[in-house]
Parts: sequence; structure tokens; C-alpha cells
Amino acid sequence: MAIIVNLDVMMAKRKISSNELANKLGITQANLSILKTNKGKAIRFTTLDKICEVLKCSPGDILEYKKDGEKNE
Amino acid sequence: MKNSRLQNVGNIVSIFLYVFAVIGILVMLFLYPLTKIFGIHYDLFIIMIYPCGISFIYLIYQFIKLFETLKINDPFCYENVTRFKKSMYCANIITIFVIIALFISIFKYNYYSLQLKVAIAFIAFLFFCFSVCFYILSCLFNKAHKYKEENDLTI
Repeated sequence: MAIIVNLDVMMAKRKISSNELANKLGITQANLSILKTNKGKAIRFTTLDKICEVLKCSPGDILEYKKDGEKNE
Repeated sequence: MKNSRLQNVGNIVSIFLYVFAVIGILVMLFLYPLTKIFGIHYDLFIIMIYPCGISFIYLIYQFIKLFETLKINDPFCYENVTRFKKSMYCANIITIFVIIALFISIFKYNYYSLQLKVAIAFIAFLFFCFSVCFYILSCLFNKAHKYKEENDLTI
């Protein structure tokens, strides 16, 4: 998919564990894992709002557009 | 309350399906002695019951499996889409063999009554309708499965 979720990068920057983030967001570890591994089909605005609030960032820091087949720099 | 009632209905239907399957297998196994008992000609027309019976038992088996997914509250899975497709193929096979049986009864043997031939033609038409219904259901379940997957993967 063209949209990449850079949640793990932001989590590393904020030094927050998956368990802690999942608890703060009120979602399960499994769902957070789906988000982190780019397996999710969609993200709710409410979830995105919570992520931005907890990680103190903007949606652009978490979501990135990359053309299909483009390699990571 | 509603769920338990649904489960009870599901259990009853499952039991019926198992009974149907057992009766079908028994009829298939003892078809020759049964024709002797009831004084029916054991001819090519009767032999057509075997492929139809096997397909029908397989169809019932698919329904049993389908009800099992209903019991565990996960009916919109991809397995059920393939189950409906398999059911469609079974219904098609039955339609084809019933049509063959109809032609055999018309052109080969003249001791079968007209009413029976009309009934056989009706059965062929009925199973053709079933196959169309199964195809539509498989498409519907495929869509439902996709929607469910999308919903499940929306965080």
C-alpha cells in the first residue's frame, strides 16, 4: 500500500513501549501491531487523534505517502 | 436469549442434516436390495442415483460445516465462500445427471410414467435454481467477508 505508518519510529523517538502506548490509546496490543506492521486497512480519526495526543506529534509524522515499489531511503 | 435460541435452531438443523446424510449413505449402500424389495427395475436410470447421491451427500456435508461456523459466530469467513461454490458445483452435477436420467427414462425405457418424467424434469429445474442461488450466496458471502475484513482491520 502507498501509505506507510511510521508508528514504530515515533515510538522509538518518544521512548514508549507498545504495551504502554496500547494502554494509553485504549486499543489492544494486537490492533497496535496491525497498525505498526502496515496491515491495517484504515485508521479512525479518533485513534489518530489519540496517537497524536499521546506521542505529541502530527498525523504527518506518523503517516507517509510512498509510491508502490519505492524503496525506503 | 436470542443467541441461545439461534444455537438451538442451529443444533436441530445440524441433527437433521446428519440424519439426512446417514439416510443418504444407507440408501446408496443398499440401493440394489431396496430395488429388489420394492420391485423396481435396477436399470441405468436407477444407477444415476449414485452420482446424484454422492453429490447430494457432499452438499449436506458442506451445509453441516457451514452451520458449525454459524455456531462459533464466524459465518462470514472465506471458507464459507468456497463452501457455497462447492455446493453450486454439486447442484450443477445433480442437475446434469438428473437431465441424463430424464433422457434415459424417455428414450431407453418406456415403463416409466409421464408423471415421473415430469417430476424428474422439475427436480432438474429445481437443482439448477439451487445452483444459481448458491452462486449468488457465494458472491454475497465474498463481499461480506471483504467488508468484515476491512472492518476488522480498521483501528
